[in-house]
Amino acid sequence: MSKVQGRRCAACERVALYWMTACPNCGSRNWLPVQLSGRGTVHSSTTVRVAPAERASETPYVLLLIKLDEGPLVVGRWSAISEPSLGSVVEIDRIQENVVWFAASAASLNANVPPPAEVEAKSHRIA
Amino acid sequence: MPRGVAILGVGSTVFGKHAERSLVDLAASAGAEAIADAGIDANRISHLFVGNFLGGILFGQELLAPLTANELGLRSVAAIRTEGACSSSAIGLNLAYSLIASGAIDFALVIGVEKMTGAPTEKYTAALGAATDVSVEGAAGLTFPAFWAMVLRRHMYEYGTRREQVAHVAVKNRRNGAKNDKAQFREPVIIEDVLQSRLISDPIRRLDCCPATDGAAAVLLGPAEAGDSRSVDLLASVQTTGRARFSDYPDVTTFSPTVEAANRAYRVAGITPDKISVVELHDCFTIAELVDTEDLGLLPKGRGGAGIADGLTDFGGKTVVNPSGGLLSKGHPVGATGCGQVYEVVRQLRGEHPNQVPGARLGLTHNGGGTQAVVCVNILRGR
Repeated sequence: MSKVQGRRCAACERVALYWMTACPNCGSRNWLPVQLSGRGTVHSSTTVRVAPAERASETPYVLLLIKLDEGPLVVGRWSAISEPSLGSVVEIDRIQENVVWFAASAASLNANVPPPAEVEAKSHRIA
Repeated sequence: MPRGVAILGVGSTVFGKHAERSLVDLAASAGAEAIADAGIDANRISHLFVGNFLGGILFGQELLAPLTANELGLRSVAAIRTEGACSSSAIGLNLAYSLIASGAIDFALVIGVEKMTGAPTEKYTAALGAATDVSVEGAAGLTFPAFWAMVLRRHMYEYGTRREQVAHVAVKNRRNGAKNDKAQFREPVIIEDVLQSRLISDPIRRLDCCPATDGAAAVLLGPAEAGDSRSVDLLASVQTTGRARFSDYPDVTTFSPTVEAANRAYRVAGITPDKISVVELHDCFTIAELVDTEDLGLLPKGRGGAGIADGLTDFGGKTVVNPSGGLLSKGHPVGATGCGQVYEVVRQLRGEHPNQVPGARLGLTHNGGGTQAVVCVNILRGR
């Protein structure tokens, strides 16, 4: 299970993955750091078949909208070619250059896979 | 007490391909038509707003507002360009409304203009990507079809909306566009055409998407008392700010900036949604029309799919939505769309539309830029 640093709004408890000055829910600028489980469920998904020129070689690719256990939605990538079903449990595999990659949850697969290395976001855009 | 604001004149080019014409040429021809339609002395116009999104990115041409003022011979105007992706010219309308209502100015010309078909597809697709948060979601590969595909899949999951119900939007809007002299696509399609067209971003297919379009539209506004029987009263004009990053929304089957803009506009106009007889809304994708129809209060939340399939948003239904053909059929020259929607509703309220809604008296426009980051709603009343 990858652990990711997020932030929780001190005023309304909204949790965010990405850094921003004001809370998207209540506008407060008072944030507290919070450790996220890195786990979430598939809120929606799509397979992108037409993309801008610089990504044409990557198509088709799967995009996921994940609802993290702590509440925030995140748009991320899925390395497999087939989309997971809505509601299934996934976890953050890695964050590379601001792109969040998801993988099937080890727990949900009930497979004996070694836990991935702890994720440390390098970019200033991710808290 | 703010004073009343009226639309005194409108103008528009045909929406489609204008490879041989420049942005300024298109903008000026729509603007000149609006001035002539209003029948006022152009020297009385104090403010010119030009809405445009892609001119700088695709053609290296900024400064479109003074260039257009020069072209039109408007020598004493303040010339201002407005940008908010697909809502670029609706922002100008909202500003003109506020300035006139406050008494600060009397007459304003608002023009929207875009050229998209001249550029290579990959260049314009990348340019449209500039309307996402490029540092995060753009980096992950989010495109606009992908954004709306995820909205569609979630709507199907939560409300049992069926894929073919959503295809009815394309069929209705193509049928309407076939009757509109300003529309880009004039050929009707059937459900099977939509469901068998090429997959773009599952489950969104080619005929669920609006095209790239060139065109311009213009609206001339002034105090209500300066109008005549052909004028249309602008009862409310509201602009709201949503989230420029898709994942900042707590829910993706409804967009709060549209709900808020509509509720405020209904309140200012003193009406309820059931009084509206004609709506031009932002159907950049078929699913967008479904969600907007719900968010504007025209159909109950979650029931949009069934309502659209039952014809409630078609002629003979409850409220006629996009009788112009909408963005899907009339076309979507991004910066021009906000003014283009008002142009269509004004023709309806004057009883002059080639696809006329019988007895149309109250109309609404809804324009959404980016991930509904900039939303503008206007309510108009014929005289």
